[in-house]
Amino acid sequence: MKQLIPIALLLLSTACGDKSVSKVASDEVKAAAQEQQVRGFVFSDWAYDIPRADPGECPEGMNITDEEFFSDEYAEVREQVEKRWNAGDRDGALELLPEDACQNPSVMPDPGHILFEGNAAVAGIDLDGENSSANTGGQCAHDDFVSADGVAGIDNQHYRLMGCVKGFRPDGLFDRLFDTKNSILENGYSPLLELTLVEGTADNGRVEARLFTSAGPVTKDANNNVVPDMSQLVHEDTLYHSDPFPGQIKDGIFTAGPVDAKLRFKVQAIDNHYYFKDLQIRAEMLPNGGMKGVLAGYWDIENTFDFLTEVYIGPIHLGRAAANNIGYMCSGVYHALPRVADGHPDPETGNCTSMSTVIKFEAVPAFVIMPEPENLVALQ
Amino acid sequence: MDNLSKLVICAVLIALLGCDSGGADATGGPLTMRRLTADQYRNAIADAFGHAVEVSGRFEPDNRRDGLNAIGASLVAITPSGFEQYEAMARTIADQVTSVELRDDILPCSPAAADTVDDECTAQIVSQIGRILLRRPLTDEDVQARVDAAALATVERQDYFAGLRLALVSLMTAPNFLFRIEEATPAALPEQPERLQLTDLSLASKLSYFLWNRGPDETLLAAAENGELSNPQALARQVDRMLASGYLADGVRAYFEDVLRFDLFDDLDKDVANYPLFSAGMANDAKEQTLRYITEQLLDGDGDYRTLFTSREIPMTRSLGPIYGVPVRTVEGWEAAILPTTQARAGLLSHASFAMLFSHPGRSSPTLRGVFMREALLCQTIPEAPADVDFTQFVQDVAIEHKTARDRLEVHSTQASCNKCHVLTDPIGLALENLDGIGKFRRTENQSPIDTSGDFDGVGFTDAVELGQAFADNDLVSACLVQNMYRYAVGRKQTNSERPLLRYLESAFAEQGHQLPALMRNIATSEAFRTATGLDTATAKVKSRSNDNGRQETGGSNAT
Repeated sequence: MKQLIPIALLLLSTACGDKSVSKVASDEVKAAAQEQQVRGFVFSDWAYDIPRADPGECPEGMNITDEEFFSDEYAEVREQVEKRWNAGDRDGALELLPEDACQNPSVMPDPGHILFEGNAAVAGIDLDGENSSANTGGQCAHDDFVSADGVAGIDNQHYRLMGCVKGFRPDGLFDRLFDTKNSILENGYSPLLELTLVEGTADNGRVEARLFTSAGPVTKDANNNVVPDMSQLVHEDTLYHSDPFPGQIKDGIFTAGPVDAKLRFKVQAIDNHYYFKDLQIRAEMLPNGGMKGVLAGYWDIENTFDFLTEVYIGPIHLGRAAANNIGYMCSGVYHALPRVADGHPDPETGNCTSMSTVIKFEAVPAFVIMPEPENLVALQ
Repeated sequence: MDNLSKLVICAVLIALLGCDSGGADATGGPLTMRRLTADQYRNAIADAFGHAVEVSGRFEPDNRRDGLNAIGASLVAITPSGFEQYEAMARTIADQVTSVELRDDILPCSPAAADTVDDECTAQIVSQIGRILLRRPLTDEDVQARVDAAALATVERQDYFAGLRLALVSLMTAPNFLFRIEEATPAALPEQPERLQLTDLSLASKLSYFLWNRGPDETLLAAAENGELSNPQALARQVDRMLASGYLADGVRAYFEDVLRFDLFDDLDKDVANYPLFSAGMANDAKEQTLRYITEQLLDGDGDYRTLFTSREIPMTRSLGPIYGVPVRTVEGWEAAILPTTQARAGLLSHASFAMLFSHPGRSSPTLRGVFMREALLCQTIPEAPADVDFTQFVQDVAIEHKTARDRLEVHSTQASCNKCHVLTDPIGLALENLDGIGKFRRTENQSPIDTSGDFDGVGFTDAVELGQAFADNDLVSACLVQNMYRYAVGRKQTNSERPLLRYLESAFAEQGHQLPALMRNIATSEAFRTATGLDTATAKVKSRSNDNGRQETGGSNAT
C-alpha cells in the first residue's frame, strides 16, 4: 500500500478541466513526479495465437457453416432475402432464413463441431502445472500442447475448439484481421496493465499488478501505431478493474498471476468483454520500455459463446453472419464448448466451466490514470 | 522646481562634474508608424464589435527586423493586394455586424426604418465605433463624410444597412485604423529644439499596445482626451491600472510570441516518418504551453525572469504528455505538471516549442538552436554561413563515424570559415540534443549515447538543466530582455541617446528582482517613451533601411 500513496496523491492533486486547473503544481504533484515506482502499459496488440509455422492438421476437414449446413434452404430463399435486405427490411430478410441458433442455441441439435486433435506449435502457459492427457478421463481431461520451443504442458483448449475453423487457420479471416492489430487500433477500449514495485528494482523485483480496461480508445500516431507514454484513463466501471495480483520481473521476463479479469472490447460489431479466470501473464520486457508476450487463462465458456455470437450492427443481430464468415456453426460451438472446457469444475456437477485460452499481446509504456473516486461505478 | 529647471541644472552639472542622470530622462527616438499585427487587428475588431464577429482572411506577412516583428511593423506598407484583403475582411465583418442575428446586440441604435436614411443613427454608430477603431474621437468632418456616403448608398439600395456597411468598411480601411501613427508636438525646450512630446492620444495608443496588445480602453481614452497623460503622476496611475488588468497577460504573450519567433509555427511541418507523433494540434499546444508557462511564471508565480530558464513546473495537455513523459489526467485543456528529474530538461530552453521550431523537418539542429539562443536570448549577432559551404558533408547519415549531431558538427571544426561561428552556436545547441526534432527526450541517436556537455562563455555544463542555470546566471540574458522589450515598446532600435536609458532600465530590472511588470512600468513611464526627437517618420524609415542588411531573420535556413 505504501507504494500506492504517491500515485493516489497524484490522482487527487491533479486538476480536471481547464477552468479548475491549478496554475502552480502542488507539492504532492512534485513528489509523485519524482517517484518512479509505478509503471503503466497500454496494450498495442491483442491476438489469438494462430501458429502460422505449424498449425497442425485437420484430418476430418474444416468445420462447416450454417449456410453450408442448410445450403438447400439458403438457396431457396437467397433471392428473396437479398431483395428484402436491399430494400431495408433487414428483419424481414433474416426471418426467411432457418432458425438462428446463434440467438437461441437450443433450436437445433448438435450438428457436430470438429475439434483440433494432435499438436500444433501454439504459444501459451502451463496453467494447471501438469502435462495433461485426455486419456486420464473425467470431465476436464484434455491434451496439452508442446510449444514451438519445446515447452510441454501448454494449456490451450481454445485452439482445440477453433483450430479446424477456416477463419482461425493461417491467412484465415482472424489471422488477417489480427495481423492489422485492429483488435486494439479499431477498439473502443484497450487493456491496461499497471505494475507497482513492491520489492527490489524496476528491472529485477517483485511487483503488484493490476489489469484494467481503458475508458476510451488508444491514441494512434501518424503511422497508425499506439503512441507510447500517453496518459490512459481507466474505465469508470469497476467491473473492468482486476484485483491486485502478484508478479515479478527477472532476467528481462515479466510473469504475473493468477487473477480473474474482465476486459471490455468494442471492435467492429462486437461490444462485449472477455471474462478470464486465473489469468497469467508471461512477457519479455523490451528495450523501448514496452513488453511482448502472452496472457493465458481460463475463458468462461458462457462468456465465450456470448462473445462469439452477440454481434450487432444497430439492432440487427449478426452472430450467424459472423459465424458464416469465420467458418463455424453457433450450435456446433455451443455444444462443443463443454467438451473442450478444462477449468473451474462446477462444484455440483463437476462439469468444467472455463476453457484455457491464449492471447498474444504487445504493450507500450503508458500512464494509467484512475478515475476520480466519485466517478467510479460498479455495474456488476 | 520645475522640470525645465532640473534639466538645466543637471546639464550644467554633467558638463562640470560628470554628473549622470542615470539615463532615466533620455529623450525618445524617432516617431513611428506601425501597421497593426494580425492579433492587434483581431483585438480591435473584438473591442469594437464583440467576440461574436469572426475575422477571417489573409493578413500581409510580418517583417522581422532586428529580431522583432514589432520593429518590422514600423517599416512596412500595405501592398495593393494586401489592401484588397483588408477591404474584403472589412466587408465580411460589416456583413456580420449588420446581420439580423447580431446587429441589435452590437449597434448602439436602430434606424427608424430599414429601407430609409437615418443620419442621426448613422452618426451615432460611426462616432462610437470609429472612436474605438481609430483610437481617438472622430472629428465632425470624419463623421459627416461617412454619414453622407451611407445615406447615398441607402437611397441607392433602399436598404439602411447597405449604407451603414459602407460607412463601417470605410472605418476599417482607414489608414488611421490599419496603422498606429504617432503624432507629437514640439516640447518647447530651448535647449532641445528637436524634442517632441507625443500627443496624449498617441501616447494612449502606444501604452495600450505595449501593455495590452490592443487599443486603449474607455478609461485611458478619456484620460487622453482630458490631457491627463501629460502629467507624469496621472500617467503612472494609468500605467499601474493597466498593469493590474487581465489584459496584461495578452501584452506579455504578444511580446514573447514576437521575440521567440513563434510566427514560425504558422509554417511548421515535420516529417512524420521520423516524427509520427507530431501533429498540427500538438504544435499548437506546444506554442500555447510556452506562452502559458511564461505568463504563469512571470505574472502569477515568483515573477523572476531568470526562473524561466530553470523551472520544472510546466502547463501540460494530454497530447504533450508523451513528449515530456508525464501523466496528464485532463482530457481536454490544461493542468499543472512537473518535469521528471529522470530527464535532463528544465526551463524554457527545454520546451517542445523550441525543439520543434529550431530543428529541421526530419532531425534536430544544434546550430539552429544555438543561433536562436545567441540572437533572441542574448541579443548577439551570428553571421550568415559562407555561401560556398558544401552542406552535403554535414547532413544526417548513419555512417559509423557520424552517428550523432556532435559527430557531424565536428566536421565544421576542420574548416576555419565555419568554425568561427559554430564555436559560438554549437556548444549550447548540443546541450539540447537530448531533445529530438519535436522535443521528445532521448538518450541516444542512432544507438550512440548523446553527449550534451559543453561550455557557455566560460561556464561549463553537462546538460540542458545546467545550461538553463547558466543562462539564468548570465547578466546578458536579462540585458537582452531589457533591450528587446524597449525596442518592442517603441517599435524601433534604440538610438545612441537612448543607450543610457537602457543601462538604467537594466540596473532597475536587477534591483527590482527581475520582475517583468516592473520593467514594463519603467519603460512605459520613462521620458523616452512619451517623447521623440524631431526626426520624422519618413526619415526614420530611410535610416532604418540603411542600417538593415536585408537578412532573413527566421533562424537561418542553411544551418546544420
